[in-house]
Amino acid sequence: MLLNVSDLQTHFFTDDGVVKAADYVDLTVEKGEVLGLVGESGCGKSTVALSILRLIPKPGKIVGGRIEFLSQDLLDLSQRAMRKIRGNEISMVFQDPTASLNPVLSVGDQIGEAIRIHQNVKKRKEINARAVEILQKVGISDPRDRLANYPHELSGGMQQRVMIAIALSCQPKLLLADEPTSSLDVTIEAQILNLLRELQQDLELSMIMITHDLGVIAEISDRVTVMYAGQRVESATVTQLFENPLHPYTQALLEAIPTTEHAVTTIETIPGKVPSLVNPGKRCLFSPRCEIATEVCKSTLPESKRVEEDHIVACHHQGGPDRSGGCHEE
Amino acid sequence: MKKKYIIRKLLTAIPTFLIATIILFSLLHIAPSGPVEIMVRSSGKTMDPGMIEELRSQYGLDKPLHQQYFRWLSNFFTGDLGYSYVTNQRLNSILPEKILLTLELVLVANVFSVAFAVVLGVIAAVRKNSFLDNFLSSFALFTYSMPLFWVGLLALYVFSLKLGLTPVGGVTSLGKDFTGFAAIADNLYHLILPASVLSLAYLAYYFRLIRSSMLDVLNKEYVVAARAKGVKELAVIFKHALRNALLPLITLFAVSLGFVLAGSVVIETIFGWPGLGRFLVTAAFNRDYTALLSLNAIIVIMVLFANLVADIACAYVDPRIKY
Repeated sequence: MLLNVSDLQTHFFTDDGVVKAADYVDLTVEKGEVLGLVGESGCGKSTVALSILRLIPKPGKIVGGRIEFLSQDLLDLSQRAMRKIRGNEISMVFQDPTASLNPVLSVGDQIGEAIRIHQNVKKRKEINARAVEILQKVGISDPRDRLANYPHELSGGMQQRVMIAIALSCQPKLLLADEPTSSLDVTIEAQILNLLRELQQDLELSMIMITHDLGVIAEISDRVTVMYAGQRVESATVTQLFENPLHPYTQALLEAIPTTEHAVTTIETIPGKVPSLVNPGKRCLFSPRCEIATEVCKSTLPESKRVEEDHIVACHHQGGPDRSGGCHEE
Repeated sequence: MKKKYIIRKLLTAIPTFLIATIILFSLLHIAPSGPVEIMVRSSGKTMDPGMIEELRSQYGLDKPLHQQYFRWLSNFFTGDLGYSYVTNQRLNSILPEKILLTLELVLVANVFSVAFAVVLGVIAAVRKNSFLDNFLSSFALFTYSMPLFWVGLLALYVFSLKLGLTPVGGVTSLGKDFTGFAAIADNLYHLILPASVLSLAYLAYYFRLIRSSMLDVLNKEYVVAARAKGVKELAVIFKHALRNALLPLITLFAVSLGFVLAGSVVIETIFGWPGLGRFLVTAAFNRDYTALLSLNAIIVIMVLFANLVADIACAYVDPRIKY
């Protein structure tokens, strides 16, 4: 196992109270595997990714859990040791490439930086040669000329390719892709997804693909973890999840995908809104929006249960009143 | 491309200069009384109207205003700054030294304030809401709220009179003939207190700007992205954040040069620093037309030049600015 996050608790200590952005989150990534991490905005997906890199901004803090990467707990490492992991063993691609590239540094500078830090290459010529090589790999034409360009001179799709090039410049083992396509045009989105999938297969890269788009998940991931309000509600293989979703939230998400089979008059939505993560209380956090919620849902936090090999769900009813029982506790 | 940009900026400075000097010229003439009247009054004698008229025509003050303005303008650009009615000296012979003295004071004060402001502003932003940040921010507010002349007098009283650390005023020690390095050291010894006082007010100003600009930049995604690359925290702050945070300061630096020059008027008066500022005050009291006009025109040119330098610096630091 490459990455094993268990009981991760990342809290933000705000003036309004403690926001439990990630509350007892478990997830695993095998070598060469793509894990999809799905959920609505603000459900803690990005918090999980930033926690893995230990880059949670103040007033946030990782208050509990373990993040085992290659059998060592990243939470035990010194800042110095952590810096050797970031960008080298684990790297990240952000949502908005325009915002995540530094506007005053050239493309060559920004790619070269990671190479210089981690690969012990000091000569400018050699750094540039490597940067050109990686730019070629992410499908940028005339890579040598691009080195002198500044981010604003490139299109959004090109910028995201540069971000991917930066992330992959040191051959990391794990790539965290935080909604890498959600700020791009639909056509560009498809290109970037294809690129990520090709690179993932070529380099046997492990990847966590964070998205709120189940279409993206279907296309690229092997397994999926669904998060709701800072908690993991379901985890399964892609096939299991799409064929047999057990958590009412997952079911609702799947129903909310517009299809072209029927003429769409209204778009399905999930009624209600995400609860406040300040003192959410001991209950199923989805229960206020859940159609099958009963008394037990409003008073007890559901435990995660393993219903099948690779299929875990945290629901008192496991997706329907008729399906309870007949499973073993995880 | 860069050359074209600089030329374009220079060309836009010309109308600014003309408008500024026309306004200055008009203001001087709107003010009641004139130089001849003041000369007569200060001499304590009475003079018959015929002689006043004669004096006015001797100085060209009876000509239409636009003719007076164009005469001054053409003289100014051929390098003739005019003649001070009050000191009876050619401005060409007295102004260069005063300009150099003021530039020395203003530049040293500005370098002080910017250098300290950047260092302290970065520290305060990185340690946001810490004791140090709160202390620095309150101290900045404190110095910013104090009038410059009062800080100047206080500094004179404490450092010069009570502690005897610095000279009371002037540019060099009287009666001593230093040469070479000793002369420079003696000059700096006299400069240190007025420059520090002048820098204090702007230090607070720049500090608050750098702090807020840094706080803004430190929250940007590219700063997180830099950390995610494994960049060391110091490099994150100075290479990735500070370069972006400095952009507003560069522009402000040029704009505030005018204010710093105005501040130097107060400081020069208090510390007996015989620069432009002190001369400007004397000229204003004596309604020394040509001196005021030429002096202000020089200040306008200095501010315009500083803005030009800032524009070029901005274009150099920020690649998004189109030439």
